[in-house]
Amino acid sequence: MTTKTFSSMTPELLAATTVLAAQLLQSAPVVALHQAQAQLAADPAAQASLKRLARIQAGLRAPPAGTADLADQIEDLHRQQEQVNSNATIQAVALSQQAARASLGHVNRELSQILEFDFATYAKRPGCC
Amino acid sequence: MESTLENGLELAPPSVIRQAAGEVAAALVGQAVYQAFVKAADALDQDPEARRTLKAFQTRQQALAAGRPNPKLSRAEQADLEALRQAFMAVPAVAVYGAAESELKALCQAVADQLSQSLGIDFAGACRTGCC
Repeated sequence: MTTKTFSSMTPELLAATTVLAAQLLQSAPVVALHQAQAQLAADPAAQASLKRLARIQAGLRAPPAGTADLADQIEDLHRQQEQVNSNATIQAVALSQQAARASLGHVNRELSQILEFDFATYAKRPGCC
Repeated sequence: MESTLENGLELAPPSVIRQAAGEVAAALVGQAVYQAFVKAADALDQDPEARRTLKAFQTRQQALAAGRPNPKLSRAEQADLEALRQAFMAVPAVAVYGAAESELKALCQAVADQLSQSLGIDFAGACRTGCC
């Protein structure tokens, strides 16, 4: 990730945010997620499986060449989804992502309770989808 | 999971995370931008012109939607509703609130960006549900 400056933040806010970021980096869910991501990065078979799924999905978004082709593509998609779903390395990333999101959700609730508005809603940049 | 990392650092327990989050929130509350937002929100809440124009807009909107499960507004109805919306937006207290809210959002985004950059996870995106 590129380094940004956060010029609108006072030194006090910047310091508190830096501490929170450091603590989160040492929290069990974030550590587990980073470990799972590193394992995925070191697993060529899992990466190939994900790439193949992405290719099939992209193919399905293109106009179909014919009904028979479409049926084959859908069958191919289901087969590949099953393969991805049964891959332990990929599933470990998915599960740890869920846990990390839940953990960050707790942090957001803590912030929001004090601020009296939903912090994540205010912090989300426009055009999220 | 072990309570220490491979590099010997201890894992941060949830209580420590909560405390650190509380300190970020307290620092945000101390910002002039946050105080200006609270003041603008209170002023908006108390402003009779803002209340009157908002009520006029909401009443008309509800009247147009009543008994029409999927209302398709005519051009005249759309123009009518837009005029009421503009009347609300033109109230000075509404403009002040809008500006204060934008400033506060920019500050919250700066905080979330710093967290996202450190963690490698989109903090605001990860916390929100119902989108993407």
